[in-house]
Amino acid sequence: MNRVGHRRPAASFEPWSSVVVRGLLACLLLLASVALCACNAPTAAAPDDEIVLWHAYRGEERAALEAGVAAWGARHPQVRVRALAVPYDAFVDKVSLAVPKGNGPDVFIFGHDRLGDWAQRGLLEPLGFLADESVLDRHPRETVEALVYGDELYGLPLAFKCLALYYDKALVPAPPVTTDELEQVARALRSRNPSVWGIAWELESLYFHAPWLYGFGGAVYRDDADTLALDAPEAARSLAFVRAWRDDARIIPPEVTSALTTALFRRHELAFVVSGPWFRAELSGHDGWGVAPLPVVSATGQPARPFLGVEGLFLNRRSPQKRLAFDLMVALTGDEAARTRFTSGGQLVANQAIYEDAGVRADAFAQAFRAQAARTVPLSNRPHMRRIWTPVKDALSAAIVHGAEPAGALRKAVEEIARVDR
Amino acid sequence: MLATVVAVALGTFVFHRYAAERGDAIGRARAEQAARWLLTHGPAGVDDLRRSGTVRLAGVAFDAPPPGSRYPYLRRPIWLAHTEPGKVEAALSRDDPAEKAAADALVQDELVRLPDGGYRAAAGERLGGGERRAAFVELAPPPRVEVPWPGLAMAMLAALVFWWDLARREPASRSRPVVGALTVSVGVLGLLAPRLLAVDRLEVPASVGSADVTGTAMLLAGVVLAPLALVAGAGWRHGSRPSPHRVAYAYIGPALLGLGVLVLVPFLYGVALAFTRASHGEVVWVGLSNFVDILSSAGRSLTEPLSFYFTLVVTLLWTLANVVLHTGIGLGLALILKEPTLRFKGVYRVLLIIPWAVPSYITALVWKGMFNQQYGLVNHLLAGVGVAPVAWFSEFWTAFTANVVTNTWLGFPFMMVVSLGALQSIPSDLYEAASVDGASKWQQFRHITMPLLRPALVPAIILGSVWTFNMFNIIYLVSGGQPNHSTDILITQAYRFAFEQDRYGYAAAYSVLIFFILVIWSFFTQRFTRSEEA
Repeated sequence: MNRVGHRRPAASFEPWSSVVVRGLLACLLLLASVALCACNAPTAAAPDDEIVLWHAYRGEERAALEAGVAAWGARHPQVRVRALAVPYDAFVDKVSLAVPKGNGPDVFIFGHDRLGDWAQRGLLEPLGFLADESVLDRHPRETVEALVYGDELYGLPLAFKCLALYYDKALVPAPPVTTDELEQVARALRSRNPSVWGIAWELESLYFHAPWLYGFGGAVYRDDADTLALDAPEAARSLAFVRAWRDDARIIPPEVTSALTTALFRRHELAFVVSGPWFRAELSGHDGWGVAPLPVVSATGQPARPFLGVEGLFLNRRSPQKRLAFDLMVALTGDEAARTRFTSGGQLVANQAIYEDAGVRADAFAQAFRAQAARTVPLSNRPHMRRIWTPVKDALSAAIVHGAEPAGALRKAVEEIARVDR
Repeated sequence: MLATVVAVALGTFVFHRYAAERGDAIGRARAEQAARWLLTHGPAGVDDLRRSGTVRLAGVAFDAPPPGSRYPYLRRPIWLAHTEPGKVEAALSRDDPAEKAAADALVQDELVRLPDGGYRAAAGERLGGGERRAAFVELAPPPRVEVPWPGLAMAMLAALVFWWDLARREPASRSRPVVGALTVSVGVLGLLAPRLLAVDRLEVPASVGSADVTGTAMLLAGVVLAPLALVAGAGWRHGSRPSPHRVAYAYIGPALLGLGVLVLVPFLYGVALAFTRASHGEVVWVGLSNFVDILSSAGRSLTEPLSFYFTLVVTLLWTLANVVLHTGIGLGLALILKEPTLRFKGVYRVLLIIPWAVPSYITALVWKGMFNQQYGLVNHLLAGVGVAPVAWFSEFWTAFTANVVTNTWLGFPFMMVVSLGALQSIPSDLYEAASVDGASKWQQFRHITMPLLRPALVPAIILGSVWTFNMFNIIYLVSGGQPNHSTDILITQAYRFAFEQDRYGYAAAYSVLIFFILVIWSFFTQRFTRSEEA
C-alpha cells in the first residue's frame, strides 16, 4: 500500500476515492440483482378480496361506469373494488405487458378488435364455463358475436359503435333510403348551389368504406382462415361506385379530411356525412341535423352495412378471483348499470331493454344507431385484421383518389398482405 | 482487480440468464410432449402415467356446449380420468381453486411455469360441433441445466488470451483494453451464436423455442458492458498503479450507468427484436431472415415505392434537398442581416426565428392544410397567377415538394442563427484590408467569409443532415407517404411496419439498418471534420 501510496497526487483524495469505488460497485451489483429479480421472481398475487378494473373512459362515461362499480361494491361489502382509469394510448401495451406477468387487472374494458390477439396469447379467460343464456340474452346478438374468437366467448358487451348517415335537415327534409335517391338529392343540391357538396367520409379508410363493400356483396375475409375476399369483383365494384360519386357525379369533395368535413357540415355546405356516434360532439350548437341508417345500395338491393365495434368487458385469465370478477362483469353489463351509462354517460349501450324504455323510444339519435347496429358486420377481431388496414388504405387511395384501376389496386393490396403473411 | 470482479460478475450474470432460459425451454418441451402424448392415448394413458410416476398430476377431459343451447360457445366440462381419485368430481364443480387451474386447461393449449419451477402443459383437440377433448400434465422442475460447452470453451479461451495478453504487455500499453474487449466479445458471442442463428442444438420442438427478447437484450447488454467494464477497469488502474484519472471516471460513472440503462438496454432490445417474428401470438427466432427480406427487397422490384432501396434513395434525396435549401437560405439571410446599414435588424431576426420556435407538429399540420387542393392557401395563391389547382399529394414530385417546402420553413432559422453567429466573429479589418487591396465583394465572400465560416457551418450541416434523415414529423404529418408510400422515408416506413402492421421484428430490422447507415455517415463525416480541423 505504501509503495503505491506515495505516488498519489493528494492524501485527501484517498477516502473519497474508496467511497466512489464502493458506490460504483454497489450500483452495478444492485443493477444486476434488480435485473435478475425482474426476470425470475414470481410476482405476488393480489389480495383475495380485491377486484381491480381497468378502463380508458374519461369524463361522463367514467363517472357513469364508476357509479355502476360503486353500486356493485355496495352489494359486496367484503370486496374492495377499484376502477382504475388507464390512458387510452397506453392501454394495449399495459394490458399486453402486465397481464402475462400477473400484475394485470381482474377485469378490463376495451374495444373488441384486440380480442383475437389477447385471446391467442392466453391473456383472456373464456367465458363459456361462467356465462349462461340469461346473461347473453340481454344483449343484441351481433354485439355478443363480436366477442367470439375461434369458438370461444371472451367478453360481455358494454357498448357499441358503428357508422350511420348524418344529414342536414335544412338541405334534406327526409333521409334517403337508397343510394340512387341520395345521389339525386345531392346532385339537385349541387346544381342549385355549387358550393354545397353532397356527401363526405374518409374515403381512404377501410373502416369508412366497409358499408359500401358489404353493400355490394363483398367482404374482407372469405372464411375463418385468414383468406381475403378483397380481390373479388364485388369489392372492385364498390370502389368504382365511390369513385363515380367523386369524379363523375362530383358530389364528394375531392380532398376530404375530418376537420374539413366538420367545417363544411356546420356551414350547411354539406348535405350528408357518414360518421359514427362520436360525430355528435362536433355538432354542439349546430341545429337541424339528423341521423338515419345508411341507405340500401341500389345496384344490389342490399343495405350498406358498416363495421360494428363493441366495447367489451374482459376477464383476465390470471385473475385469482374469476367467479367474483365475473359477477362484477354481469352487474356492469346489466340493464340497471346500462341505463346509467346511457343516460348520464351518453353511451350507446349494448342492452336491448334500454331501447324499449319509454324515454329512449323518442331519442331519434339512439334509435337510429340501434337500427343501424342490426345492419352491421362485426369488425373482425382476429389479429390478422391489424395487418390489412394499411395495404387496403393504399388500394382505396390509389383507386378512389388517384385514378388507379380498382380491381388491380385491390389485387395489389391482397398480394402485399400475402407477402407480409409469408 | 476491480476489472476482474466486474467481469466475473457480469459473466456470471450472463451465464445465469442463459442457463435459466435453457432450463426453461427443456422443461416446457417435456411438459408439452407429455400433454400431447396423453391426448392421443386418452383416459388409458392417465393410468399409465400414474403407474410410471413420471408426472405429478395428469388428467383427460372433455367439454361440450350444454344441450339445446342457442350459443355454441357456452361450455360445460366433463372429466374422463385423473391421476388423483376424487378429482373428477371436484373438477366438475369448478369451485375448488386447485382444480380450477386444471379445468382451465380444457379451454386451450397452454403452458405455464409453476412457482416451484415445475411446468404445467395442456393440449387440446377439436372434435367438431363445439366439443373438444383436452389433456393436461404437471411435471416437477427439470433436474439440471445443460451447459453450453462450445460457447463456454470459447469464452474461457477468450479469457485466457486476454490474461496472457495482460501479462505479456507493458502495463501502460494502450491497445490492451481494446484487445481485451475484442477477445471477451468474441467469447460471449460464442455463447450467443446458436440463438442468433436460430440453431437449437437441443431437440426441442420449434414451437417451444419462443423468443425471450428481454433475456437476449440482457445478454447483448452483457456483451457490450463487459468489455466496457474491462476498459474502464484498465483505465482505473494504470497498469499496477492507480490511474491519475480516477476522479474523472468516478464523475462519469453515474452518467454512464444512466446511459446504459436508458439508452443501451432499449437499443439492444430493439436489436434482439430484429431477429424475431411474431406468428400466431408467439414470438419466434427467425435468424437473419428479416434482414434478408429487406435487403433483397423480397417480392417486389427495387424501384417500387415499398422497397428498401427506393425508400433509401428518397430519404437521401430528401436529406440533400433539405440541407442545401436550409444552408442556402439560412446563409443568405444571415449575410443580409449582417449588413451594417440595415435597419430594424432585431425585428427581422425575431420574425425569422419564429418558424423554429413553433412546435414542428403544428407547423406540419398548418402546412398540410395550406396544401389542400380545394381550400388550401397555396392553390389560392397559384390561382391568383392563373395556375390551375394542383392536387399536391397525388404525384410523387408535388408531394415531395410539399414536404421539402414545409421542412425548409422549419429548418432555415437554425442555419441562419449559426451562420449569423459565425459571421459576427469574423474581424471586420480583414474586409477592410481586402477592399484596400481592391478585392470585389464576391472575392471577399469567397476568400474571407467562406473559409472562416466553415468550422462553424460544417458541424451544423452534419447535425442538420442527421436530423433531416430521421425527420419523422414532417413526412408523416404532411404527405403521410402519399401517393402510395412513395414519399415515405426510412423512419416513417419503419414506424408503419411496427405500429400500423404489427411487424415489430421487421421494423426492428429496418431500424438496425437505419442505425448502420447513420454509423457509416458519422464515420464519413468525422473524417471530413478531422481533415477540416487539420
